[in-house]
Formats: sequence, structure tokens, C-alpha cells
Amino acid sequence: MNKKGYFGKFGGSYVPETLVEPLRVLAAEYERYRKDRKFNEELGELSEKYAGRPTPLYHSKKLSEHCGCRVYLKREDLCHTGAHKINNAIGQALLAKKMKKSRIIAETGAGQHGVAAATVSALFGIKCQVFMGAEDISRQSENVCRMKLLGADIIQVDEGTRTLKEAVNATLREWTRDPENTYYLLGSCVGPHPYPMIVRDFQSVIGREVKKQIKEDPTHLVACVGGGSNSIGLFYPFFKDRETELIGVEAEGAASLGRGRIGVLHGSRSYVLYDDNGQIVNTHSVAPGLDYSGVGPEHAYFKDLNRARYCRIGDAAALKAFRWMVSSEGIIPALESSHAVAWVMKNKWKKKDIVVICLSGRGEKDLDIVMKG
Amino acid sequence: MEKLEKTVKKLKKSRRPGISLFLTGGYPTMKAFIELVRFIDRESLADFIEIGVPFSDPVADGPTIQASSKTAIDGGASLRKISGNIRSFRDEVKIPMILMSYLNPLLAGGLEKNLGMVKNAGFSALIIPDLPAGEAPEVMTSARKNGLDIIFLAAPSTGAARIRKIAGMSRPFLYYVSQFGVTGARKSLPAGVSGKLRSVRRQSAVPVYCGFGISDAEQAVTVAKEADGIIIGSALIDMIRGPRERYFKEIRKFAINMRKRVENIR
Repeated sequence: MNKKGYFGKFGGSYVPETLVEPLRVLAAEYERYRKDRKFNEELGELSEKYAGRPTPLYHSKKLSEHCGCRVYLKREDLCHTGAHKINNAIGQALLAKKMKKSRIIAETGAGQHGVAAATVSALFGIKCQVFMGAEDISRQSENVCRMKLLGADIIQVDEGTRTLKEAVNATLREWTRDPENTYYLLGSCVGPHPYPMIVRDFQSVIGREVKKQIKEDPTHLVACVGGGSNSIGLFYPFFKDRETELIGVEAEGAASLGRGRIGVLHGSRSYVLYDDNGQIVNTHSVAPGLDYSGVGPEHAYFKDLNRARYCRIGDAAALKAFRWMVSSEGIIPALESSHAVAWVMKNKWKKKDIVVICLSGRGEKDLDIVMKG
Repeated sequence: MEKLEKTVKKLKKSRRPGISLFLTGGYPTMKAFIELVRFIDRESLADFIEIGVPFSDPVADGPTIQASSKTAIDGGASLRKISGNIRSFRDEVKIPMILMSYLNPLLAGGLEKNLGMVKNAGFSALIIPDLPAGEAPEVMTSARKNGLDIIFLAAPSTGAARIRKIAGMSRPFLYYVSQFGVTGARKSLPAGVSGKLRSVRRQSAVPVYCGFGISDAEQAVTVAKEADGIIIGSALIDMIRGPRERYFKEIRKFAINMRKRVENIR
């Protein structure tokens, strides 16, 4: 990444002028604290004692048998609050505290980032508002209850498709209203610089742990991609390990990398799904966390470098993998993570392959969707 | 010299604050929008007309322009259709026109081609709310090549050094955002707006126009005392409802009153 926040030609900071200065300040403060010993000690302590890191790397015998190779699951579902989102939320909330912000705002799709943001806000005693599309509020009601119990205000967003894209719009607008006192805790590696970098850095703990935990070098790393935070966290520490193939799995109906074109959405230049007039198009996925028209700029960079490969999995295959995981492994995976599992189950493997899947979150939040389907 | 630049210079010389009126392209319908442009031009209700390309995700806009954008998109409005319609009567329009568009509609299908189309339609300058000064310099290069100016924005959070930088890039004026938050009519303007405008004007080598939240003549007077001109957006869009004759009348009354109030302010 260069100084202006570009990964190759992707990224940047395409925001209303009002946010230019707050983003400059955020980048400067982050630069200061990322190297700060005390900050990192606090972060390490909270990651370990509060969030439950390191998460296990579990050798799944049944998946291995099914695929005919060795398959490991990186158990982010065992994190406090039930997904990898807490890694980033702790880091950024610490930053918010250091920056003396009195309010945290956050967008959420599946509700996992909203829950993580509400959780760390409760922990640090900072007021929290979570913006969530009306459609997501109705399909992820368990997470809505959790956020409310944690003391967060849920702001319902009724524009457009009433999902993650509109939740981000609403949160960006709210930030322009009071950037001085407000910390925008963005949940994925999207948005204007420095967010894609900050989120990647805090999520890279996933890949760093895998490196320590696995005895032989993995041949393949597989993770789902919506905005792309769990996947970039797994991939980034392996960027230079050319023998390890990186595979991102998008939802069939929301494949920005697979079917998008280069455009600008939510503050950065990346692959985006839009029509011939430049209007952002609606997406669909059974997994709310993947239901997004854009993707993190660093993934766009990895794609153009051919460093990572991006594939697609539809609703039906994801639901099938979900059920297989529950009945065969006794693990209820998030529907988002089920996309990564589904791709691994579908692919042909060699006996010597060593595959790591990021099980980014647990699926209790998805029981309504699965039982209705 | 370009029509827009000439008008800005003339206004500056005469010490009369300029007035720019904003319309969402294709709102409420493409036909009614065209009639609105011609009406404002025919009756000289503004010094400039700013025409917004509706975008699906307008993060700098409040509820009024979000809603008008959605109606326009649902009605089939696009950069291409707006440009095509404006182009058909460009030679009859006296008032200079400014195109407001988020970046993505300008990029879709090729920036170079789109800017050529915009110029051809008769627009003099661009306002791109999600392109802060200094980002993606190729947009400016391409605009210059096509004979289009870019009007950059400055905001209450913008520091003095950056205002000088923005003023150095912005032609023919700088657009000062009066307050934090998104576009939309407000009951009152922020307390420090006059002082802030004075300091922005001191830093700026080009005239300073001010917009965001100006909804009545009273607020226009406050702003026009310190700025070279004012930009009215959401307040105008809010009037466009019901029968055509009624909102034409309302807009006429609003614009004439505003003009009268700010005319001899200095």
C-alpha cells in the first residue's frame, strides 16, 4: 500500500470533503498507536483474556475424509461474540478510547459486527449506535436482541434494499454530522483509507495464528468474501508464501470480484456491481454478511495480481454445506462461512493437499433463515 | 472565456451575490425537469443552474435529495439521458449550467467519453461530492481536456492550508459547505458560519459560494453577506410537488424574493 492509501490502483479516499480531515486524523493516530508498546499490550491482553484468542486450528477428520485431503478449520466461531468481527472491534474501540471519542457508530449486515461493536462499547463504557437495514433486522433478530441488551441503539435503515449497503450509507452520513466526537467503527476492510488497512491489520491475527499452529505449510487457504475482512485477515500473512494458494469464496448473487467492474463505492475504488449508468445494483445472498455490492480494495488488488483466486457459491450449496457441518461435525457454522466450506467440499483435491478453511463465525444467528428455507 | 466563468467574474465585479439553484436531473419526471430548467432560464430566476445526476448511494445527501434521486432513477434518468435532453436545447439556454454527479456514474462506461458527452450537452463545470481535491488527479486532467472546470468543496472541518490548496484547484469558484452533515433544508444555520466564511474567503484565491442547508431568504442573507454567492438545493426540491403551475409559482416567488433580499447587501 502506498502513502495515499492505494493498493495498486485500488483503494483511496473518495469521500465528502467534511470527512477528509477526520480520516487524516484517524490515519495519523493509528500510525502512532500501531507501534505503541502499551497499546499492543492492551490489545494482546484483551484478545487473549476477553475474546478467547488464539482460536484453535481444528483438524476435521470428517471433512478430510470427504475431500480426500487434510482439512483444517480455523475456529473463529469460538471467539467471544461468535465471529472474527471481535478482533477488529477490540482494536478499533481501543483506538476510539485513546482518541477520547464519546460515541461509537457502526454499520452491520448480519449483525455480527454490530454485536462486536456493541460489546466493546459496553466494555469501554462508550455510547454506541448501530445502523442496520430493515431487511437484516428482520432476518437476524437474535443479533438485534443481543445488541439491544448490550445497550446499543439500533437505527433502522429503510432506504434501497434495506441491507448492508444502505447501512454503510447511513453510517457515513451520521459520521459527517459529528466527526469531532464520533468514532466510526467500520466492520470490514472496505471504505476510505485508512479503514481497509486498519481492519486488515487487526484481522491478520487469524493468519498469523494459523502460521504458528500448522506444522506443514498449507497448500490452500479458503475463506468467504463479502466485504472481505476474515479472508484478508487469513490471507495477508501468507501474501509472500507463493506456494500457498489463496481462495476467496463470494456469494453467487453478490460476486463483486467475479462479476463486478472497477468503480467507486463507499469511499474506495474497487470491484463493484453496478449497471451501465453507474447505479449500484442490488445483490442477493442467503448469508446477510455476504450480501454486499462492493468488496475491500486489497482483494481487488490480490485479484489483479493473480495472487488470490475468487470463486462463487450459491445459496443452495451453502445451505447444504451448513447442514452437513451440523450433522457430521456437530458445528453450526455461519451461513457466510458455509460458503467457504461448500467450495472446499465441491472442489477436487489431491491427497497431499493441506487446506485451511476460515470458519469465520457461528451460525446460531442463522437458524431462522435455515429453518424457514 | 467560458460562460460560467464570465458570469462569476461579472457578479464579483458588480458585488452582487450570485444565486445557484439545484435540480435533480429527471425529477419529478424527465419532461417536468426539462420544463423546470427552461422556466428558471426563461424567467432568469438564478445566475446558474446546478443539475444533479441521480445516484443510488448519495452519501453526501439528506432525505430530500435521496428521495428525488430515487424517483428520478426509477423513472429512468441517467447521465446519458440527462445530457441528451439538455443538449437538445443547449443553445437556447442563457444561464450557465453545472453538472453535479457522484464519481461512479461518471466512471461507468468510461470517464473520457462521459465528460465529452457532458461538455457537449452544454455544461461548463462539474461538482463531484465524493471526489475531494487531490484524489484521483486523472479526473481533473480529463475534465480539463474536455474543457470542463471542476468546482471543489471545502467544509467546516477543512484547515486553512487545505483551503488554499482546494482554492488553487477549484474553478471558477470554491463551494463552501456551510455545516457538518448532509444536504437538506435546516431550521437554522450554525452559529459560526459568518466568521468561518470570512476566513475561507481570506484563504481563497477564487470566489467562494456557499451551500448546504440554506432554506429561506433570512438564511440566504446571512450567508450572502460573507460569500460571493449562495447555492440552494433541497429547499427548492421540496417545493416540487403537486400540480406544475403551483410549484412554478412557488419557485418564482421564492427566487424573486431571495434575489431581492440579497441584491444590495454589500
